[in-house]
Amino acid sequence: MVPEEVIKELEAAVGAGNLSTDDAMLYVYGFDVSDVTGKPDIVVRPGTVEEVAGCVKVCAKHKLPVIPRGAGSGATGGAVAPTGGVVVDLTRMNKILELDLANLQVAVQPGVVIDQLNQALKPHKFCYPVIPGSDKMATMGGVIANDASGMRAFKYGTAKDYVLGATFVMPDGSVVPFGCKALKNVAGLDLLRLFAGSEGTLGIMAEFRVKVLPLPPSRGVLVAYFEDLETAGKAVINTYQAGIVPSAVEIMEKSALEVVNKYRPQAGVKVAEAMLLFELEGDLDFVESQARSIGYVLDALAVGDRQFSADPAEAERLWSARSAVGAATSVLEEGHNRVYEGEDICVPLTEIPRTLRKLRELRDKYRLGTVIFGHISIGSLHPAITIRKSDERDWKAMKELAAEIHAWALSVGGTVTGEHGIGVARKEYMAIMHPGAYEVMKRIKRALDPDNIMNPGKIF
Amino acid sequence: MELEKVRHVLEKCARCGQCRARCPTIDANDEGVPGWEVFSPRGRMQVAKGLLEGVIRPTRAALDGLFTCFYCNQCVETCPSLANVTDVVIAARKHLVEGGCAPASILQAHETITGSKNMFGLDQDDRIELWSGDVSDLVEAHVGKHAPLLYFVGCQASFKGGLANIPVRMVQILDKLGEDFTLLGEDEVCCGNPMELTGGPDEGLKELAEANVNKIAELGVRRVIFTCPGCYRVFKEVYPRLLGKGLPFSCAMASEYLAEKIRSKDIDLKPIQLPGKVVYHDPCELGRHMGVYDEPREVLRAIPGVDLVEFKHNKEDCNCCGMGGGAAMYDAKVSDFQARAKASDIAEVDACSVITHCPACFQGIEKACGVLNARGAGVEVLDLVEVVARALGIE
Ligand SMILES: Cc1cc2nc3c(=O)[nH]c(=O)nc-3n(C[C@H](O)[C@H](O)[C@H](O)COP(=O)(O)OP(=O)(O)OC[C@H]3O[C@@H](n4cnc5c(N)ncnc54)[C@H](O)[C@@H]3O)c2cc1C
Ligand code: SF4
Ligand code: SF4
Repeated sequence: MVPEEVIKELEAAVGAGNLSTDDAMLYVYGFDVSDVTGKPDIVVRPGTVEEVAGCVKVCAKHKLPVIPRGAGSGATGGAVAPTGGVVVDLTRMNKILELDLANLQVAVQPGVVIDQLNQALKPHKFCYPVIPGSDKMATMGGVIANDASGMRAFKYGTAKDYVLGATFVMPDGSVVPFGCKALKNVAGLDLLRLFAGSEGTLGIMAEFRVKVLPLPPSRGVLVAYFEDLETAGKAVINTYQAGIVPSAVEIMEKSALEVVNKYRPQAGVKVAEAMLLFELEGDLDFVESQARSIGYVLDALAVGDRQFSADPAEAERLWSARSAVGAATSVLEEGHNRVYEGEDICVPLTEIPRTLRKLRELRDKYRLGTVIFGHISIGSLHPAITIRKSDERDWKAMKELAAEIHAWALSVGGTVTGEHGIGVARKEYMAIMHPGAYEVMKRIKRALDPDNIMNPGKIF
Repeated sequence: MELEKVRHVLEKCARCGQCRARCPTIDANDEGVPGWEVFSPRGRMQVAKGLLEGVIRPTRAALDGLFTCFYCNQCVETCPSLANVTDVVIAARKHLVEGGCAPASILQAHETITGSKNMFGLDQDDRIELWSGDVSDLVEAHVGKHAPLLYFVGCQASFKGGLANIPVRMVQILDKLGEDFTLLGEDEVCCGNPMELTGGPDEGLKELAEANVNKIAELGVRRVIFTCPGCYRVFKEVYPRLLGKGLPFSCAMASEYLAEKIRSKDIDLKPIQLPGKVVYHDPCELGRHMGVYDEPREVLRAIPGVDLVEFKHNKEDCNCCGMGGGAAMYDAKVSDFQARAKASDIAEVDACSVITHCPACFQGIEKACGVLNARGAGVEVLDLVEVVARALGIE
């Protein structure tokens, strides 16, 4: 129980209507997508940088955990409160503060949703190209704090590559602005890159200035079917070697094709060992010439089964197979539902075919329905495991399966997380992945947050 | 236990939060809208889960979350896990009613419906009187007669004077088309929709269902026409479950019935004049819940002089007007917020009339138009049957 005095001080910082200690409310804030849970003692919803700072000051004074939270779409327990404390829900701060498109940048509050920003940019023919699969709900704060990315990461990079400035609320409640309006800036240590991906463990980011790009005028989608996984892997590498930079290359392994076929037959998907979807952007001539070049790459590999369109409706239809994977996973097996574990490995490109085969092997070993797909362009694979949630045996098998998936990724020089982060769920891998460097990270954490109040139990 | 029945739905939820994107009650963009996680579909699912597992009490936030849902089904439309959130919301409301923890305003509403057989606590004798006015002779001539076709008026249109034009025009249309039709008059009882949505007990609902179905069957009716999607959905989807058997008649919304007439060329629609373009608002219970999107548009397009445009968010994606799900019975403010959001949608399209096909939406859209008209916009709201009546020369 938090003392009444703390509640009063927090109320003074955010206003009584923006604080809750209601039991059901706290319970609801105790979840994200992962199975890590943790009910906070208090939830606050600040509306300004000053209110954020006011809350953190109160928490610093009383040494209470502070858990920043965006949309809670994270898959690692990052936004929940396993040790109690104060969840700072930043979704009230959802204003786009400035569109400075002549300088290729916008200023936003942390609760702005990625899609909200892109909808606002679209009429001006601009975009924020960091588009995770969760763009309809994920917030700028959550995306930058997780250094999120998505299927266009190969071409456009990750969230950290677009931050020009941020206002940090440090663990003692002090407000530290950083960055400038220039598109390049190497003055001193790059605190933006330190905070991006720090998952709220170093402070709260309460305002951002981010780079935006002109929206490509057209888009084409090329779909190709493969009868063996090696050729699919080779097709990606050979595409790059031919000098082509698609905005995305996605893979749907046989399990994904089967399930989409069942769920959305109108998508017209064929069942093969794998399907690749290449997304190409630029002016129409460029898109078409790139598609032709990929065609030559595929010809050389004797892959004839393919389709291409740059017509917006037809391209969308081709892409719809990929968009349907999430929902299709729900119909894989009656009573089996998706869990987010072992879901985010990233491996070197040359290891993709072997990894896909390993995933199949593990799926069969544990007999858990698993749909395999991912951003092959950059080596990110998302095995979607489904279980009977009321069956303890399924949970146990799933945990073992996830551990084997992680072990495999590490054994081939990859990572247990390409996008979704560490949080609580993958913390055990930090020391394994970063012998030595983990200690350096801990020292940075201790220096900035000596009382360990910022998102304790996450990463560290 | 009601929540046990939806455990499988709760298990489907991956807590991805995608449903936050289109839920009107969590849309924190609109000034004044709550924004707390309990006002999101995922939050409501979690509250239900907490109640099912007995780890939370029905606190104020739990009630606020569960009873402010508009039943608009945007969440169901969005959910990649195919979880039927609204089934869970209704089950959780039922759980609270059964446990005696539901809000007083809701329990009172259930009592009113069960006692008065209508949602307003008014005298059943007034079911026809309050709306029939100039057409009372025509209505009297049809009430209680044996006929193949029945028009089920519904409580809203029967008792709320401002909606009287809907049943008046519907009856005039049926008369003009030469239909042999009937009405239940004071024997019509509440269909049970507000009770079902707010977690009312099955026994009470079953009584209402039996009263309506038996009386309709006695009149030899083969088809029932509705102007209220709430009644329509409950008849089609809930009655068969409650009664354990299919209905001895078919059900159609007025638009479905009229679209058939248009296809078979049994209706002669004359040109009408409207002050400008019209936009059609899809009622949630008719669109997302019952899948009726095309017929209302087909009818409007068949009327010469109607220039139909679409909302940016339309059909499966149409924004709720804020009058659904019994939310207004619990907290009128959430409906008012949503009416303001709907006003922005209306302001975005270049239309002078908003046409809807639901008496509850009529009131929600009226509120939204009120917001715009206060700024000098000049937008009117009409029910689809009012427009059709004009095209049939009915004054
Ligand atoms: C269906 C689905 C698809 C997804 N697809 C992708 C994908 O393609 N790529 C990808 O990278 N991820 C993806 N994710 C994971 C997730 O959406 C991202 O990690 C996203 O960045 C989280 O944003 P959020 O607003 O929900 O943050 P939350 O989940 O609320 O928080 C995430 C972390 O950020 C911290 N945080 C939040 N806001 C702030 C702030 N202002 N300052 C400091 N710390 C903060 C939190 O404490 C927490 O540690 C997906 C998730 C789902 C459910
Ligand atoms: S209801 Fe569906 S969309 Fe909402 S959180 Fe659950 S799985 Fe995601
Ligand atoms: S039915 Fe509508 S209001 Fe209710 S939870 Fe779903 S989206 Fe929100």
